[in-house]
Formats: sequence, structure tokens, C-alpha cells
Amino acid sequence: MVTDEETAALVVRAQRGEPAASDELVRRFLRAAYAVALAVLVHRADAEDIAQDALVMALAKIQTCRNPRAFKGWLFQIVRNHALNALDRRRVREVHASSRGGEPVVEEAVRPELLGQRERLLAALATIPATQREIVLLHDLEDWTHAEIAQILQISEVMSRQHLFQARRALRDVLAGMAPWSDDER
Amino acid sequence: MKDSEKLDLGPLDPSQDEARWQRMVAETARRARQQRLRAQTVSAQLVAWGPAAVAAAAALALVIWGAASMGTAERSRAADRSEQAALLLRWAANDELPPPEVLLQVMGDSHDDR
Repeated sequence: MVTDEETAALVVRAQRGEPAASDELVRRFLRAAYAVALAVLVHRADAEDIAQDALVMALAKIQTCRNPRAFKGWLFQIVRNHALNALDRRRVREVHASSRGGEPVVEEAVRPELLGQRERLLAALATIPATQREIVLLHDLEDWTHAEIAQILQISEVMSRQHLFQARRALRDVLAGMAPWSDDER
Repeated sequence: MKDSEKLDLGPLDPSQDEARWQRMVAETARRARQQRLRAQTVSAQLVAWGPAAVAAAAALALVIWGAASMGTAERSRAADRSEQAALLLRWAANDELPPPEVLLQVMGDSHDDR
């Protein structure tokens, strides 16, 4: 686990213009940024793009990160805002497409029997609230502790545990209701 | 399965394809460096050109201010001359003879202007 002190030291070095420190921040936080973007967008490719763009943008303006110890919270707020903007743009595109009488936009979640394991997980994630998605992704995908999650989401650790419990139960229920997948789908 | 057990979210993990993930990390790091370099270049150019730009702006302001002041003085002298001319015209039209000191003062002012 990366401590706040280690992260703060890297941030200070990156603020001084050390490219190696900036590279290390990318290595350490790209996957977590992806998890945060995925919680908003529930679309893997979009989340990858947004995580990269947001990280590039954050590092370009790293001088504005006044508290290097709070870098994670600062970065993920940028990622979240970036993802929400992308979500708005996607909704506008979808509304335009449907108002033009083109092909209706059908979410992959609508036909779970045709989906692979990844799509099933995304379809299940789409059914739970965004905060629960973010918590379950950061905890079960990124291996973050409840203390870390509570810190960046500004909630209590108890609340984080409760959200995680509810998210897992809801996801398991939804996944259980879907047709099983074969190994070659993975 | 208990809800306290971790969910297998592996299929959503982009780093499972190690080679692709490393490329993505490298590309993001490259873009971040490039963006920072561009920002530094812009700020470095601002720093380099800043003093010269300030000096040029100051010189330009000085020229404009000088021209404006000169224009005001010119306008003021022209107004004085037209007042003197109007006064002389009125004396002539009314066939007035002003006191000598006033006449000398008016004519003297006109002479000073030349």
C-alpha cells in the first residue's frame, strides 16, 4: 500500500518538475483513477480514456495541489468531474441519436444472455448507486482499505463498510439472476 | 457466498492484460510530460518576454499620454487666440476704444503666442 507520506513526497518532487516523480504517480494512480471513472461511466473503454485524460490534466496543473498529502482526494475529484462531463456528453449524443429517429441506443445490460462475464459485471454495476460502485471498485478491484475510501469520499469508515456490504449483496443478486457464462467468454 | 467476501472484479481489471496496461501507463506518462513541458515552455516564454513587453507598453503609454497632453495645450492656446480675436472684433464692430493697458495686454498675449 502506498502511504500518504510517500505520495506527498512524489507530489512535491513532481511539483519541482521531476519527470520521474510524475511517471511514478501515473504508475501508482492510473488504475485507481480508472476505477473511479468506471464507477461513474460503467463503460470500460470510456473509463480508460477518461482516467488517462484526467491524470494528464491533473499532472499538468499539479502546482495547484496545495496539500500534497491530500493528493488522492484532489486527483479523484478531477477524475470524477471529468467522468461526469463525459457522461453528460454521452447522454446528449444519445438524446440526439434517438431524436433523429436513428437506431435506438440499447444498453448492453438489456440483453444479459448475450453478454460475457465482463459485460455481466458492468450490467450488474449499473444497477447500484454510484457511491456503492465507487466503493466496491476501489475495495475489491483496487484493494483500498475502508480508511482510504472514507478519506477520499469524506464519509465514515462505518458508512464505507455498510455501502460495500450492500453493494456486494446487490451485485451478487443481480449476477445470480443472469445466465451463467462459459470459461471461453472470459 | 457471503457478502463479506470479495467480489471477483478481475474481468474489469485493465491491468490483467499486462502488455496493454504497460503501454497505457507509458502513454499516459508521456502525455503528462509533454503537457507539462508545453506549460513550462509557455510560462518560460512569458517570463522571458515579460519585461520587454512591460517596457514596450510603458513606452507606448508615455507616447499616448504625451500626445494627449500636447493636444490639450494646443487646444487651450487656440481657444485663447479665438477669444482675443473675438474681443478685437467686438471692439471694432462697436467702435469701442478699450483702455490702453487692456489693449496692450491683449495684443501682448497674441504676440507671446507667436
